Amino acid sequence: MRKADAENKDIFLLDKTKAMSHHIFILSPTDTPLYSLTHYSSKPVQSTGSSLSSNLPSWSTSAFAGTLTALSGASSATQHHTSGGGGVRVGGGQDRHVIQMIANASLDAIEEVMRRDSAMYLKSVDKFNEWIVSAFVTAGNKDMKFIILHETKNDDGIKVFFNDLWELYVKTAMNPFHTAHTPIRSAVFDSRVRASAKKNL
Amino acid sequence: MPPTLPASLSPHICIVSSPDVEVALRSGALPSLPQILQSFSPVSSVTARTSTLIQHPQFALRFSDLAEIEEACREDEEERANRTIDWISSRVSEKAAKWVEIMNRTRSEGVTTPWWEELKKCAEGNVVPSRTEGWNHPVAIIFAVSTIAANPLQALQDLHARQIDLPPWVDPTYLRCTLIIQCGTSSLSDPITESLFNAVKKQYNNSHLLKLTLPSPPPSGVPSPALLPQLPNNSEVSGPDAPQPQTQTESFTIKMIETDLASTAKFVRELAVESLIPWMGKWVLEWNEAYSSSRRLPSRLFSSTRRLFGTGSISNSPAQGSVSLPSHGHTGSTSSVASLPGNTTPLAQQRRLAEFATILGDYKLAIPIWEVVRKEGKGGSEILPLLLTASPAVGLHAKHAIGSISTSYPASMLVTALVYTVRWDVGITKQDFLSRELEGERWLVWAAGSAEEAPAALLLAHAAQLSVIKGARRRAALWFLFAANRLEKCGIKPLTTYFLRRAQMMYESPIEKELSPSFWESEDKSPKDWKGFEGIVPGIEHALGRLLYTTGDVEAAVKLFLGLLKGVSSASPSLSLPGPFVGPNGAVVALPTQEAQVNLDKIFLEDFRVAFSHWVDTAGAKVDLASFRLPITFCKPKLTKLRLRDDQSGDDKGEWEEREREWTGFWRARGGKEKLDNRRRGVVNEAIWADFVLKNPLQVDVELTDLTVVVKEAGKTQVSKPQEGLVEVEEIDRISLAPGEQRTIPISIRSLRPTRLVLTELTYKFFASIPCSEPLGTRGRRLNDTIVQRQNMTYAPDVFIEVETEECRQRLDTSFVEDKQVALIQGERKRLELWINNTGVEDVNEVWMVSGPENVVWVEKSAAEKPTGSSEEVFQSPNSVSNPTPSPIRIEDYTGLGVLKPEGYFRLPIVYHADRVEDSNICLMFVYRLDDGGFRSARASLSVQVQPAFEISISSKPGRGGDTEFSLSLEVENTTPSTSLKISQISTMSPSWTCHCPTDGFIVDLPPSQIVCVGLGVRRWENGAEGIEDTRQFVRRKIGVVLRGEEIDPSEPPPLEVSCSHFSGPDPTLTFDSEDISYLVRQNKRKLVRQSLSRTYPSIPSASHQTVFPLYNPASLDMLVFWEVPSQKRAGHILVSGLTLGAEHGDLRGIIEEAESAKVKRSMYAETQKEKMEVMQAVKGGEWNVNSNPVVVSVKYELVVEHDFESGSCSVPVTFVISNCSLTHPAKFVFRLPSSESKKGSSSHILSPQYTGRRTFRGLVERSQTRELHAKMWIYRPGTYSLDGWVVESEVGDRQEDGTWKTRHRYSSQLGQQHQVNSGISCVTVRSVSKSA
Repeated sequence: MRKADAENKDIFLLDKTKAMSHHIFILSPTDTPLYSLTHYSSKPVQSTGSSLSSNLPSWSTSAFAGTLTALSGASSATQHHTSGGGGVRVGGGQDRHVIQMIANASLDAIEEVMRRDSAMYLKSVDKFNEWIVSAFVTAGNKDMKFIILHETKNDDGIKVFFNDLWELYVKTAMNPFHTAHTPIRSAVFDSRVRASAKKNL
Repeated sequence: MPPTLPASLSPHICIVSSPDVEVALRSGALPSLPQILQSFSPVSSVTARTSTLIQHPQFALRFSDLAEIEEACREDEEERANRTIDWISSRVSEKAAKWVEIMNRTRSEGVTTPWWEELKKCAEGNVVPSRTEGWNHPVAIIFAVSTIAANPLQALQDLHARQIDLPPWVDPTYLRCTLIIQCGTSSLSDPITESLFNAVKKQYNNSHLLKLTLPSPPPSGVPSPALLPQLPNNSEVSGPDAPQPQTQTESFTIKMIETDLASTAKFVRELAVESLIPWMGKWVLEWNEAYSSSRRLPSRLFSSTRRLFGTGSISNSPAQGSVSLPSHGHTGSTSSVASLPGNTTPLAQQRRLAEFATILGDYKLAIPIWEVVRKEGKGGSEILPLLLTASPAVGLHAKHAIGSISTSYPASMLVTALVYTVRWDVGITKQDFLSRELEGERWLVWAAGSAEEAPAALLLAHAAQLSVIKGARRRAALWFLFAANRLEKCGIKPLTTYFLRRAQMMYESPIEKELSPSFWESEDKSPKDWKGFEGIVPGIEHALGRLLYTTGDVEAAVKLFLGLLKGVSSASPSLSLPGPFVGPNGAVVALPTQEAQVNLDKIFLEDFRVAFSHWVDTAGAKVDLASFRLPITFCKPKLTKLRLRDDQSGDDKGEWEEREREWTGFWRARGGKEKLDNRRRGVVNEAIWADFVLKNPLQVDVELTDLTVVVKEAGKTQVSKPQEGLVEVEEIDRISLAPGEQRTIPISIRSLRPTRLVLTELTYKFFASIPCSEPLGTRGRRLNDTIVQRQNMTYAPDVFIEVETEECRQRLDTSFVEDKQVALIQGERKRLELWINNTGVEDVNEVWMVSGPENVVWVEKSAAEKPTGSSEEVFQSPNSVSNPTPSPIRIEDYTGLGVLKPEGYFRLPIVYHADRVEDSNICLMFVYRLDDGGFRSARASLSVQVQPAFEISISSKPGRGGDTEFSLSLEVENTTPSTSLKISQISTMSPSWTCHCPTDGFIVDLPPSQIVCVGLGVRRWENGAEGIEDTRQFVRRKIGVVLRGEEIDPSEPPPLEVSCSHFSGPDPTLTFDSEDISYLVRQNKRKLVRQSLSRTYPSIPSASHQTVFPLYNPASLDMLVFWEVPSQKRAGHILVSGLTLGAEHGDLRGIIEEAESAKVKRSMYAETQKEKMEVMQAVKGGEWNVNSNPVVVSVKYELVVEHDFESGSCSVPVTFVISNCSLTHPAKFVFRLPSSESKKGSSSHILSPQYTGRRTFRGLVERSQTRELHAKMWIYRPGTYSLDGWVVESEVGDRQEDGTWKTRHRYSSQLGQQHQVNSGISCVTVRSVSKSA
């Protein structure tokens, strides 16, 4: 328990200092996630006064703050315990599906943009509350989709990151045993994506 | 076509009536006056006149009671908004269950959903004036009296005199109308009423007379459309005894006769057409004039500026696309000021103008004014989307409208946003609303904001519903989920459940993809195998499960929770392993996502446990556990193995296969056709172990109970109790698996009759109650036989583990008596015993032991031969390196009978020689014959550990002539840390040499870490010369065959006589007369030779070694060191092999030259050529082609010579002995002594002698012969004289039949180069001795 408390404290500190999180997904042409990464930017964040969670109505019950924190882009590791219902709700796991749901929902917008725009970098295609969704679609007949959920606009950085990601993906895809549905587990790929994310996001 | 405005944007008319009106209406069983009049709205075919004539097919009016409005206006706006939200929530909550039932029944996918309709009605029904907009500000007030009043005129006067208690911010511009209701029951006659009306008309403008008969009893009436629900006033609900607010939201009947209905309709129409609309039109014109005049100058300026900037003038066209909206920064200031409670400023006239113009339908006039109002920050953005045609700018208006709502009062913010959204939804056509330009569904989401209230949730739900219609199902799924999450907080569970299900349905519904059909083919996947985000479905289902549990549907909840226990999917991408990340302060923080998975599994399992136990407690006997399916599997069928009693550990598998091959080869070579039956079979009534590998895929502890396996009989159809009478299967009570643990669980199966058993499935109980079964079949092989099979993936039927069981007729069990590892010393001869046991029911009469080529094992005969005392012996060796063949076990030697009876047994003694220093297993296979002529095998293995004990080295040097051709030096070191050894005997074996020991009584104690050196003399043994030559010829012939690449004939080398010399102490000598020593040594030698051959000739297959190479090289000399540890009664021997003595001269030279000069056969394969070259190189460098100088020179001299130099110089004789070490050839030599002072000594103080007389000697030495050369040194001063510096040239050749000499090889050497055996320089010291002295 003590360890968990310590972790909570860490996470609380993290919240305070407001590490900006980026959720990165690589999706197959059939929208199956092949790779995903949660990157916490170490770059300073412009003070966003109108944070959703700080703007909660006073009369609002805060029991569902788990999803709200996910929506407002706070660390997805926040833990909330609610009694009743025979279970304990934990922010980390519960929020993950909301993030994934947002990424999934953005596919509607991405496909719509893809239909009218032939560019690979689609910029910000959608917005869900605080989350901006930027996308990149690879060329060729196997349209791999790269998606980033981010909180502040950073078109140039994201473009560079996407180009890096594309290059890394192409290298991975050159493996003759790699199909459009092979989950990417390469440690090298992962570390390079992290490096690029650290540099650009 | 102007848009149809929502009803909430219609004129609001307040009614203030005298009490008698209420009495009159109640007497006629009628509702209140506003409600009656509301039933007649809208009025059809109305023409409005402002700047133009506008036709309204329908014109709506809203009626309300002024008193209620006054009271509502007194209430705090925020408080009222809060009440509104609660009121809507309670209405939704009441009806949710019914709606869900309807929706589930109809499965409607349309725009209309009951909750949205409800929300719309609630929002539209609001008539209370607002500070920020004027739509609900009354445009007219009707003062109504009835003729049943005692004094209608007085009553009217009282009404008019009544203070209108509306707040100051309510627009005071309203029309005052007077209504006199003439009731049929009143005492006033028609003329009196008329005169009253005329009087009133004179006094008050806009007076109307409504004649109602109001018969008693009331007629059946006419149904009226339902009125919009309205928030009950605060006072109505605040008191504890207050009755429930009566709201006529359901359709009701107006109990009026036809004439009354007609007159009421006429009144409403007259009110609208004759009074209200002209009045409003007048105000529009008037205000417009004022507005135009105030705007004239700036307008001109503005338009000129426009021209300067080159754009067109302001267009009133609704299609205008460029709408510049102020940014968020400075918006809302006005509106927020306007919303302050203390603000009493009436609404701006411009806004009222815009509102009136909009109500009257003069949009051409209204739009520019709204634009101006918007620019001034006084609202308008919310109305423009209704009036303008669809364009992206409209979306910005909507966004601005929602964004500019004051954020200080969240409840009123939500209510206002709701009202706006409802207006847009009603006022904009669906096609436009959902178009790509507007994306109206997003407006709803903006409006919902972050509020966790039922209206916000329903806004999201409607947005989701609109997205479904648009085809954006994934977005719909998200919004349904959000809606459900918010609604859950409000406790409206039926709708929450419904939304969650919709979210899941939307997420899982397949999306049509524009992918080539060959994409799926190339990916080897079916479009149905779609796998989305792994976290979404569990997230939804868990929430759903918890809801179901709390709403009482425990069974469904339990099923959902059970379905969530999927563990970490192996196919999921690396989301579950995000690894560390760098926090903002540079510290590396581990994100506990892996832990999150652990937590998730824990939560899911805990929820399941709680729900399940609750369900079992409550449902009792109705619990149907069979319908539960666990989504995970624990067993890994591919890793499942069957273990029979005879099976050994997996490490020895290769060894046993080798034994089987050895036996098969042996038996076939003997001409036998019977086969060794090595099928794995179980025995009836004997345990067969099935090892199941269970892996816990969850990250929590899991307990399985009653774990067992279902066994069926092969080929039998399903029977109810398949195991009865067939097998007895063990059942394991309880198994606990840690998170992610993999464990092997053995289950014993006992067959009750001979049959073929199939292990079909593993069964267990999860949570001690849910029965689960996992099939044990693995997918069959891919079929490729037909075209269809090749084109479509087809697999053979599943493969199950099968085992045959049989009655045991003849069965031999063999095992070592020792059951644990045996520790041996290097070279130890260990006597071991085996149990040979017949466990069958019939006799066993033939048993063979297959020990394999690596194990040196001797089956001890019944009577061991005693050692003899002979120190010299000769034995004839078969000289073959062939591996030992399986040896028959003579049963009668051990049992006294020719057969081994059932349940009979005997001990088989064997001697094992530990010649390898390593840990190994002695694997012995015993083959016994069955009744039907076939064979079956039994196995016995024993682990041995052999410790090194000796370092042995041998060196040889040429002898100094005479009897000793070579002298050997043997060094034996005891390397054990503590064992004291005794060297009991040393034996030598050679076909060409025999040894003698200079000393007698040889026996040495060798304490730990001590070395013993033994010197032996070697001389030639001539008796075996014939066999040696045969052996050499055999090797020449066979290697010739190999080099020519011909087929090697299977003949083995001729036998060879081997001379042995034994040197031992007083103990009896071990000789090769004893079969065991002879056998063991031969096997030792065979192993060493074969190892050496494999190293030297890697290109010649080891299987053909026995037909090419003999066991003994004629020149070789082997030594055997016998040792004992008397205290431990241990004994053993070590064979040292590989020493060859004497010179040889490229015995194979002719064959090699022949092979090299043969016509080259080109092979198309480079590998063949390379292999040939390798063979050639190996043969050239091999031990059978050694080429060495046979001539060895030794010097005989006196070390010190004394001479009196006064008498002159002296002559010192020196004898050089030329030895020919060749075993085969004579050698010619030329020996030259150094000329005087041709060479200095190696050191300055050593002098070079001067030789006198003959300096060059020539001659011939026969093989193994020596010749002495006598020379004289002429010494003229004392000193030390070196005897080196000579040169010997030799040639080896054959003497031909005609006496001529044919040289084979030439060699040349000098002292110091040739042999170092004399270690050091030979020197003669000549000392001067004076005779006079």
